[in-house]
Amino acid sequence: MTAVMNLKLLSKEDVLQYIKEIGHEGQVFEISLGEDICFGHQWVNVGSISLKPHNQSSSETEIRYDECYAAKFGGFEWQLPTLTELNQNISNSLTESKAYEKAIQKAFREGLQDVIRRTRLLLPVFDVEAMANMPLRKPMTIVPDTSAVQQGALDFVCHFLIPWARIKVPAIVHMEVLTQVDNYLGIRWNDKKKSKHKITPPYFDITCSAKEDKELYCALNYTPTQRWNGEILALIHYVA
Amino acid sequence: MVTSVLRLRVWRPCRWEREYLDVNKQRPAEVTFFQECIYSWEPFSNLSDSIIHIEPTETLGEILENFAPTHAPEKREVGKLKRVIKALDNIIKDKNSSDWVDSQRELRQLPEGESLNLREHPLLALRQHLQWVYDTFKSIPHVNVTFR
Repeated sequence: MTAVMNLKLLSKEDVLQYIKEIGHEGQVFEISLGEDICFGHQWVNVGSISLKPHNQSSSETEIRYDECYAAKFGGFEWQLPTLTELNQNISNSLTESKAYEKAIQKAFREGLQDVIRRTRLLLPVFDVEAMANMPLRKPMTIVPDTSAVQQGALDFVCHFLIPWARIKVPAIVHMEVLTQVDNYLGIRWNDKKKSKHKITPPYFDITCSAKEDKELYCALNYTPTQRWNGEILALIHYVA
Repeated sequence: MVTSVLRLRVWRPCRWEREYLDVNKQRPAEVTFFQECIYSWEPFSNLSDSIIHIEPTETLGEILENFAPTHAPEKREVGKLKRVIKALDNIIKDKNSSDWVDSQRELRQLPEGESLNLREHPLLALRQHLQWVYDTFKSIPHVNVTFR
């Protein structure tokens, strides 16, 4: 079933409530991404999601792992389209930029991979020699750059290579991520006439930022009246 | 902390910088005879928790038995993980065979002061990790895998 909803995200909890409604009782829902500069009002389907809540609670007083918690803490399965299907979805959504079709498909796939890697649904492939030198042979400190954070390598190290590797994140990484998000949203919210309310929903932006060092949030939508104030709303939330 | 019964290890022939004497054979040791561990992973939960019926457990056990350390390294090459991944796909595809279960390890503190047991699918997590091991190590010669 495809649920079409005009979402206005006011807080992370609101988003989770919407997702809870969409994915209630095992309903599989599709997820589509849009970018109005590139795709206009077209949307690119990137697969379907089914939430995996706990249907029964052992006692009445115990909190049930419901759809809301399943969405919040990663209790879901994301079925992605095949490469051919994804490329076709992107091509179908392109209105004018057919000349850059291949480049857009590549950029779209890379961006999508980064998001999926940060959720650890897809794991990054590293240099084997570097990995082989890691296990308890000599002390190793990993100093990630901004790309390593954005592309999910840091998540992988945190999850699978601790305690073999120590991690030291330079302060500049945090600042660069915040600056990139700020610049991106600055462009989105300021059109040619400098109107703050020109972009109207539905639209679906996808970007990410780091908050409080340990938590990464994936922002999927903004209402035009919401200004960037250092806080990112979240649809997909995960802890690094 | 819950200890898993399964541990995945990836091995390759040793690359020693020094020569060693094999005291049994009284001659320099053949370094390629020995294996060194280059990656190790232990699932966070017991795999059998997510399996509903006994049949997939037996099937999976038989397949993993082919990667026991007692077998020669060339018989448990990383390329053979494809078969395991395919078998896991078949088990996971059948909704009556496996399901999501309560995680035994991870608890999340909620703002209200309550704690919540997280859910996971250990079999699916194993399948994803094996796919990563295959993708990462498949092009490296003589790399082999053990489960124990």
